[in-house]
This record gives sequence, C-alpha cells and structure tokens, in this order.
Amino acid sequence: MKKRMLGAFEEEVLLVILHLEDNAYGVTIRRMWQEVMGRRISVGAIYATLDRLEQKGFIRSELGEATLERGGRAKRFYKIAAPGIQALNETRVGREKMIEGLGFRWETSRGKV
Amino acid sequence: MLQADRRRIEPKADSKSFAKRTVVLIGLISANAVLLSLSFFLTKYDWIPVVLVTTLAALHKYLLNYAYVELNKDSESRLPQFGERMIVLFLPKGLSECMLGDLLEEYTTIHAEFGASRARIWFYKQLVTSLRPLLWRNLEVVVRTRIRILTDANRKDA
Repeated sequence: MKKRMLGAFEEEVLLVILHLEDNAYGVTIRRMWQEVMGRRISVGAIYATLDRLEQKGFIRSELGEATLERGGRAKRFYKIAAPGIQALNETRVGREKMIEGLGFRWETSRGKV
Repeated sequence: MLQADRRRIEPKADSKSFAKRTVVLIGLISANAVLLSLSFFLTKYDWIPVVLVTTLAALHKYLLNYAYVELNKDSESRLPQFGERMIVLFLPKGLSECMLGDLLEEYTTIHAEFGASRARIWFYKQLVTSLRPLLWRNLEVVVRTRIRILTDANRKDA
C-alpha cells in the first residue's frame, strides 16, 4: 500500500489539532502554531492547509454554534481522523529512518541527545 | 494571546467620531423615549386607531435597529468592508464564513488592545498574506479535478 507522507507544515498542523482536542478551530490552531514555532502565519495559510488535509481525509470538520463575538458566524471545529494518525506515524517512522546512523547529537528542548 | 513582542500603543480616541456618535445616541434615546411614552399613553384610549399605535411601535423598532447599525459603524465589531467583500468574492462560502469569523474574533481583540488603526493594518496584512496560499490552493483543486476528468475519459476510451 502506498505510504502517505505529510509535508512539514501539514504534520505540524495535525499535531496542533491533536493537542487542542475539542477546541481546534482556525484561531486556536493559528495561535498555538505561532506560540510553539515562534513565527507568524497568515489565516489563509492555515485554512488552505486545513482544506487540503480534509480533502485527503486526514481530518474531519464540523460547524459549531454561531456566536455574537464572531458576527454571527460559526466556528469550524477540526478533529483528526484515523488516516491522519496513520499518516503522522508513517511520516515519523520515515523521518527516524533518515536520521538513524547520522552520528551527531540532536539538540532538543531537554538538551542534546 | 497575541505576540508578546508587540509594542503596546494606547488606542487613540477619535474625537469627531465620538462626538458624532454621542449626538446620534442622545437623539435616538430621546426619540425612542418619546415614542414609547406616546405608544403607552395611546393604548389607554379605545378610540385611538390600532394602526397608529402599531406604526409608532414599528417606528420605535426601526430607530432601535438604526441606532444599533449606527453605533456599530467603524467599531471593533465590524471588519473593514472592502476586505470583507474581497474574502467573500474570492473564497467559497463555507470557507469564507469561517475565515471571516476567525478574522473578526482576532480583529476585536487587537482593536480593544491596540486601537482601530493597528487592527485595520493587521487585517489588511492578513488579507494580503492569505491571498497567495488560498489562490494556490484553489489552483491546486482546479488542476487536480481537471486531471481526474481527463484520466477518467482516457480510461473509458481504452
């Protein structure tokens, strides 16, 4: 079966959705990505990626209730689907295989490993 | 949470707009008070035509609605009109509605924290930087659909 590899940004967005659990919608996804990555990203870039991931079947979305603070517009909540989890795993395994045997120490948040 | 490195700027009060809004608000409150008292007074008398009372009530409702629209003009609860129209024009409805909601949510936060001009700059910056990925995505969808149609046609021919 053909392996489904994710792009770096797609992988990051999927991980953010996993972190946010039931509260994953455009604003929260963008904020968390910016906080973790330390860079800025446009709303359009997030939505383009979410649309692509949904079309690939990696995430599914449902509309929430319309709220006054959003001018009567509903939030679209995203949840990760089983193929999304599988794609994340395959991407991780693929990356680990590439890293194996390189022989230098990686810097992580806990120091060098 | 917004970017922590942003400089805090006190929102500048627009004196003209504030004065205009205050006048409009006082005028509308007075007009509504008169209308309400009149409607209440007229209902005591059976001989007053119902149509008149209903018309006054409708006028009262219209003024309330007008006040709401007038007071919300250029305020934090509305995105810049041109940008909003651009998003509606270029994006599919399902996507544009959610994106506009998200933009409004953040716009309101920035408006409250940094003022109207900062919020407007942020909004237009978002609009400009969002165009490229969204147009690219639209193009991707169109090309993929076209390829699928051509592949299906070729399979049928074969």
